[in-house]
Amino acid sequence: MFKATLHADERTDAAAEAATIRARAEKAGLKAPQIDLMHAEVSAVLAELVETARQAAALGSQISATRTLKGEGYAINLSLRGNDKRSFFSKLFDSLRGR
Amino acid sequence: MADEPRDLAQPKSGVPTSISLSPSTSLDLSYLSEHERKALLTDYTKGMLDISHKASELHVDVGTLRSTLDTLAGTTKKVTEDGNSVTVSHTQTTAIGRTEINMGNTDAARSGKLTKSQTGQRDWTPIYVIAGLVALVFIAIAFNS
Repeated sequence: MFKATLHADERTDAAAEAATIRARAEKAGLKAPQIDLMHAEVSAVLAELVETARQAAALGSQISATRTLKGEGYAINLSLRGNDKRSFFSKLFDSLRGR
Repeated sequence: MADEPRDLAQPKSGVPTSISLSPSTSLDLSYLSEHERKALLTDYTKGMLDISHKASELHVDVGTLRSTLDTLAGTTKKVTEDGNSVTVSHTQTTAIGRTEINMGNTDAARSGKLTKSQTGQRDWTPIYVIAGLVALVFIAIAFNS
C-alpha cells in the first residue's frame, strides 16, 4: 500500500506536486494503471483546493482543508492551509503532531 | 405692487425660524436672534452631514461584510460537497466593529472558537515556556557554582 501526505498552500504548483507524488508511487512499486488513476485524482483535487486557497487568501481569509484519496493500493492524504498565519512554534508543534 | 404671501418660518433675513426634526416634529427657533439661529443651523447642518457620512461608511462596510460572508459560505459549501474536511476563518475590523467568521464541517469550525493565529493575535505561550526553561537553567547554574 502506497501512503503519502501532501501539504499544500495557495502558492503550491499542483501539477508539480502531482508529478512528485507520481514519481514516489513509481519508486514504491505501485502498478501503472493505479499510478495513472492516482495521478489524475491528485492533480484534479489539488488544483481545485489550491485555487480555493488562492481565493480565500485574496479575501484575507484562512482556509484549512484535508482530503484522503483512496484507491486500489494507495492512500494519499492532502492537507491544505491557505493564508496560514500560524506562528513558528504552532507550525513546529503541528508538524510534530503530524498535522 | 401686491404683497406676495410669505412663509412664516422663513423671515426676510433668509434664516429659518424652525428646524424640522422629523416629519411630525419641528423645533421653534423664532425666539432666537438671527445670529444665534445662523450658528445653530450651521452646527445642525454639520451634524447632519457627519451622520450622513457615517451612515454611508457603515453601509459600505455592511455591504462588504455581506459579500465576504456570501463568498466564504459558497466556498465552504463547495469544498464540503467535494468531500473535503474544511475550516474557513476570517477576521476583520471595520467601522461596524470586529467580525470573526468561522465556517466549515470540522469540529474546530463547529466549536466556533478561533485560535489566536486565526484572529491574527500572537500566541506568546511558547515564548513564556522557553523563557521559563532558560530561567531554570540559569538558576540551576547559580546554585551549582
